[in-house]
Amino acid sequence: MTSLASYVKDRRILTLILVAIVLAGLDLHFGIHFGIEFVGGTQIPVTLAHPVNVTAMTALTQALEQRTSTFGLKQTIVEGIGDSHVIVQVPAATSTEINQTISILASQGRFDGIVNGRDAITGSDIVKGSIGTETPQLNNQTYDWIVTFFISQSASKHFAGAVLGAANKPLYMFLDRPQQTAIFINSSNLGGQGISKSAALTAMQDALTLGNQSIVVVSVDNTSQSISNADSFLLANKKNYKNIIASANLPQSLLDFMQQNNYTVKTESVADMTPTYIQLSFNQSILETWPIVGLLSSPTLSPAITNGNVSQNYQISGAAPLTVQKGNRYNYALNQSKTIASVLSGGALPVSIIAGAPTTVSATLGKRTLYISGLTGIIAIIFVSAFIVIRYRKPFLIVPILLTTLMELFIIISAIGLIGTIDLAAVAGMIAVVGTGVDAQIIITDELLVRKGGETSSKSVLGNAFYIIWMDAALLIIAMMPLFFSTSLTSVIGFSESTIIGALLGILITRPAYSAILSKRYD
Amino acid sequence: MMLRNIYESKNYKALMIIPIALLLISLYFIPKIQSDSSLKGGISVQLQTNSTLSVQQITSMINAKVPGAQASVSKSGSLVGITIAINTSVSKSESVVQSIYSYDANYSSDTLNLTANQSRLSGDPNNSTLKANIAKATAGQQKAIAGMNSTLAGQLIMLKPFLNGTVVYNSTNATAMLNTANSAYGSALANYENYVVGAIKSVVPTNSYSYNPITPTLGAFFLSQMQTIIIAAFVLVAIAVFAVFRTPIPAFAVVFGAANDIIVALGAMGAFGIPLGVASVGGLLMIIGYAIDTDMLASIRVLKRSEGSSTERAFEAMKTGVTMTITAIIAFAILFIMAWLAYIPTYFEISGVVLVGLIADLATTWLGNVPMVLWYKHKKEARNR
Repeated sequence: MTSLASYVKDRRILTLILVAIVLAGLDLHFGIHFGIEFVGGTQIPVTLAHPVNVTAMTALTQALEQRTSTFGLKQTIVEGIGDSHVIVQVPAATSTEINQTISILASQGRFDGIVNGRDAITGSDIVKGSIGTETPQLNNQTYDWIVTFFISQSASKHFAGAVLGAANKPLYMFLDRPQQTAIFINSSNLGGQGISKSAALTAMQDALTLGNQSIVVVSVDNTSQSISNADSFLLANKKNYKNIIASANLPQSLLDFMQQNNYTVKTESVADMTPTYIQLSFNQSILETWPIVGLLSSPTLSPAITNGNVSQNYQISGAAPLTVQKGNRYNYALNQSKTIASVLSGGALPVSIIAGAPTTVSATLGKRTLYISGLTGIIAIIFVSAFIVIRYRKPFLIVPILLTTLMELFIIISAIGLIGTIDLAAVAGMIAVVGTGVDAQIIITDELLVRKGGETSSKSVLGNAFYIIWMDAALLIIAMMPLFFSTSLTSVIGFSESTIIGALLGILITRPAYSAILSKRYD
Repeated sequence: MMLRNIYESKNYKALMIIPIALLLISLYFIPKIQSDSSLKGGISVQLQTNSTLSVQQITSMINAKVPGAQASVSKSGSLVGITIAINTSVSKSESVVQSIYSYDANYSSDTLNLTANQSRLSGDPNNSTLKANIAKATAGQQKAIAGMNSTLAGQLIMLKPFLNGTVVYNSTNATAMLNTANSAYGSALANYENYVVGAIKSVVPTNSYSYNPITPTLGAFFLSQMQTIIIAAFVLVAIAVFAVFRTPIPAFAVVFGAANDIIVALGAMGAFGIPLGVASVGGLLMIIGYAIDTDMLASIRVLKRSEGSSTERAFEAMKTGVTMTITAIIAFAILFIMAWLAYIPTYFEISGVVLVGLIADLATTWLGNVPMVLWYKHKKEARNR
């Protein structure tokens, strides 16, 4: 009888143990993701207004993911299916949450172009489909980008009036500019980048003024005087402002006071509270971008369009700055034009979407399914091992068979649960892996215990067995490839993931370990 | 227990009649395969209930409450699974919204043409081409608006039973009509779900249910994708098998084995009423995997090994292979029984397919594939002698 230590010393067995320990650690740290079949949730099928190519599909799913994450929906999965469907999966299952998700998916952002504190142009003024970008052109050392668009006839008169005499002033381009909002910024975060605190505050106020919809910026330092000023501002302006964007590093008492007075408070990090600036002259700067208020660009108005002439055709252009590395200037210009085009269109999706009837799974039913799946796995393993022991009449076999099969299952569950999602199909695939895994163990057992007779070295016998096992695994993986790479049958892809990982694991880790245990015991 | 080596019989080639007969019988049953709601469209609802009504009672009560439901009901303990046909007005409505979007796309491009030409005309007031373009774009706009209006009106009539009151909209504004179409579709879907779930709850009271609607278009798309995936997998495996053997007859035997297993499995699904669903694709691919497993085992042992006679090796391979297949049958039979007891359609569909495929594989491999390979080996041995 070989001692336990000599088993553990074998490289093949040791590998298996190490892999299992590492995965167990990862599982504990990151947690395993289960699909909505097991934890409950909702799947919303989305149909596109027209079929799209792969690039547009990727852009669409990314845009949808971005939207859901911007609105704070956690664990949302967006998957493209074929060329005209998308599936959005959320853990939520109440009808309010589902409706909220649907409205977020379909929501259309609002573009505002503000000049001199006046709304000069809005998203609805822009003629649909007229926004065009051109390939960036090389000009001297850098690349120029251009975005062109048309505005409606009525808007063109309004715009010409709004920009009259505003040559070289910025057109502040906002996407979803917040309403009834005040910003409380820690004065220590103001300025920097060669800009004084007061110049920074002036630049912010210039960009955020818009009649009675102005966003006010309140600078607070840590003195009690400043805090009590802030408190009285909050008490006096309950009617004017409902939302507050606050530096996270403001005194906690002030943040609490805001909440006590029923303001909706969003705290932001120092980095997010800091806008980017364009320095116009030594002591004058303007805001260029400030994403927390939706300010995404600030092109300056060319004198040619501020003389009162009415036009419907405009372009916004610029160049990648020389501070950008030379090799990246083309992409910078390209991205810049794409950003501007996206802001002008109100962040519109590349293709319109039609939300369909959601599939909902209740959490209770999900738990039940999970329980039954686990039970099925255990029963299957018990019966299969019992069959093998009876077939070969060697009770010791139960140890390596159970060990390798359970390890295989554990590793597959960890691998899929860590990287992807364990859904029904993945679990069915795991049961299939128990089947194929044991099949390979039978081939090894047969070669080692039954047919060894003539040959002396267990190595050459194992070589024979492993030739067949490798072949089987390779062919199983090939058979699963079309499903694995399918972009349409997403509900079943889990099956191919399980079986492929199972087959790879089997040939690389668990079956060598199994054969090691067997040859140690029966050599 | 001593089994007789079936391959020692002089007439071992006659064994091949059995898998071929199975193949022919299966071809007859394949057209009888029933697709489930994931492929033909429909609504499946699962719920937990205390209701003691029988399956027949639930079926007839739901059919009475939801006209055109064609309910199919299964029950296991406290879990009830109900599948009903999806309302055609609701399921068609999605493509109607799509066509309204395409009218809107036309409208937008005409509006853009109009704006661009108007803008140019202001600098060149007498240009007749621009004027003609403007007239054309205006006519296009009107046509698109008219098309949108009539399509939307049709949709609203179709969805009337599922809308809250009459919908009023501005029939000259494209964006307004688009929004109306979208929101009418959305609220019809929600109301339809409430109606279906409400009807079901009134028959079998429940607090926790799952609701899964599939439109027939999506189902049809899934079916075509499934076919593509199975065929692609089969072709890839066939190429790989030919690459491994590099001799046509043994490779053909292996590929034949896999094809036969799939066909017999499909035939059995038709004969025994195992439904075909999206999940079945996993099972069908698994059959290819298992078929190849045993076929390769047998072919490699018979052709590439040297101990004993080829007939003996074939029989030894059969002992190993049958053990393998029985193990797999045990695993999938447990999944099948559990899925049936607990009503989990995905497991039921996958395990049902694999189970019949494995049983078919016993016949295909040991009565079809191995005699074919042996025959080839014997001929080759005779030639070399």
